[in-house]
Amino acid sequence: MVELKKPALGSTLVSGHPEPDGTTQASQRRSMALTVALRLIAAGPLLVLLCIWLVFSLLSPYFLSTSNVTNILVQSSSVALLALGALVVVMVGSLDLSLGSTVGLCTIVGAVIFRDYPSLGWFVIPLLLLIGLAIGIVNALCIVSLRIGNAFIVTLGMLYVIQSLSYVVSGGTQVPGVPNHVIALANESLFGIPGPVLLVIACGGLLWLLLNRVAWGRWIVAIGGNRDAASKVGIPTRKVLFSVYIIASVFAAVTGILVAGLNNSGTVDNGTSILQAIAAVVIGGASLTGGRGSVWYTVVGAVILGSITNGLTLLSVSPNWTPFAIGAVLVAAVGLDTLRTSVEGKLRIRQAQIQAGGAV
Amino acid sequence: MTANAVLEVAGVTKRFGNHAALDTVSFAVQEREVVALLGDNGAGKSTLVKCISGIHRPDQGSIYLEGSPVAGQDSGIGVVYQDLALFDNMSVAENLFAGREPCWPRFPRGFGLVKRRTMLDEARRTLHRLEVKIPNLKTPVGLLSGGQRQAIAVSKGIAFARRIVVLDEPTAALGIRERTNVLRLVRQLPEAGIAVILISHNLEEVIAVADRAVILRQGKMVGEVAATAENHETMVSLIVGGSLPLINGKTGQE
Repeated sequence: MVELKKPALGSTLVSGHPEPDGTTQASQRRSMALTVALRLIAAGPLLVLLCIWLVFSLLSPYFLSTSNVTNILVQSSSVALLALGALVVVMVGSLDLSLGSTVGLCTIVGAVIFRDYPSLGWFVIPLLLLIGLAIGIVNALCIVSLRIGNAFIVTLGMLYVIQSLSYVVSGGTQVPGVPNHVIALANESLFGIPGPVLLVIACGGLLWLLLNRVAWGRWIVAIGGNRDAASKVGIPTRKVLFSVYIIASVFAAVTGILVAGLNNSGTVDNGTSILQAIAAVVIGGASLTGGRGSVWYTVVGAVILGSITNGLTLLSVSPNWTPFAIGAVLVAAVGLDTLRTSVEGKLRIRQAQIQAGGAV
Repeated sequence: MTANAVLEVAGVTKRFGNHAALDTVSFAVQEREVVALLGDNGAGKSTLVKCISGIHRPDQGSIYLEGSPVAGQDSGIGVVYQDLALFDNMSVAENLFAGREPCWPRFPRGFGLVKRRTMLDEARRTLHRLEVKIPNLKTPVGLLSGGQRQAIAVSKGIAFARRIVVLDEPTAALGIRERTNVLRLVRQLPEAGIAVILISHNLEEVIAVADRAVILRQGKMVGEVAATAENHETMVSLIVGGSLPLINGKTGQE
């Protein structure tokens, strides 16, 4: 062991490579090239979307017309909103399968209230948000406070419970008619931008702000990265986890309001909408183990799914093939992401070496 | 209460069920002192660290930092954990400030916007002061080398330590050169007015950097000796207890 009794001031803790006397222009250029390459790789989901649009626009001249692109965006809006809710839970490395059922319950409660108490129509939106809040609290209580079991199982149970409640409230049938302002939200435009698209942009903006700029949101990301470390550095992990399930369910309630307006009816969710939303989250590059995910790429993921459905319909492909295409894209996206992660890691290490002036 | 004690552990007991992980442990750390905390696995070292850092609340006894009781985790005691407690998915700067981000507004806690510029500047200043070289503070920690990660963990512990820092096996995962550098850094801390509690299995390391050693065995404090080469055998016998199982002058430890 080295004798260390005398403090050696001015020592360097990390002895990396020594600073080169003159960083050559060549290595600077190489570093720049790598930075560009890293940016491109990080834009993966966007590239996938552009490829899909390119292929469909070659096959159908109508595909990229303004009205059809608007169609695609509106059709993707409900999946996008629900995916944003799912993303929050995925960020901490968990899943919430009950979100789809919550959407269904919200549409039905909205329609039933309007049918039975038309004068209470104004109260529908706040009520649905409260329902989302309540379901979120129940989920969070079961998973975080009572530690009943893992989130997958608890929310699977909640999926059935909420679905069953939807059938009870609706009497097992579709309930037509929702308040006018809910219909307006889903069908009118502002500055030429359709309401659903604005809603996704607004909710996405809020979520982006939370996850990227607000301390609480950074804690969500930190917990996804390393839950143990999060509690060691004094992050109130249980409160943050609690909030995550509530945020997700409120997003589901907002999705419910949108879906009710789009369909002008209340319908029980058959349980597939949450799977589409999770697919959008994964196609958007999020990691199911937590800590990595992007708000806008999640929206892009939903638009990818919407574009596939829309494009295949335009090409008169039987709708029976749509799930096939979505499944294939999902698997391909995950494969691409794995590849991306490993290439990205290698490039970054390379970049660090160049910046440190190390051997090339 | 001792005159110049920075930290005083007074009769701390911590039970998990029937098992007493800590049994009336008392000792003090003086200003600018490096105290080694020794003990076999399961002796209660980690529990003691968690009590000192505020994660565990002692069942009996108290811990005083400069005369006032330690409450919660934001007491000015820096802790560097064995497993580093880093977030691989977050940047170097964010790792340094995780859990205590500079925010606007500051209250209620967690609801403010993170002041990213301030955070980056402060991080750069802290690392510069500690002479830790990281080219880009926005790099995710997961992409750094083992030595760099260790350096960031130690810097994080020190950056927020006003008077005392606890280092839990800071050199366990390091190569020889990185280990030397970390120990050199530990040795600099008393000069900067920061006392150190060092947890280590490596007695040579302890003798090299610590002034005093406190030894725990099965939750009880069994000894307190000067950390000198002459006391090497004494420390070993206190750690393992009873007669020495000496094999070629070395114990089964290490």
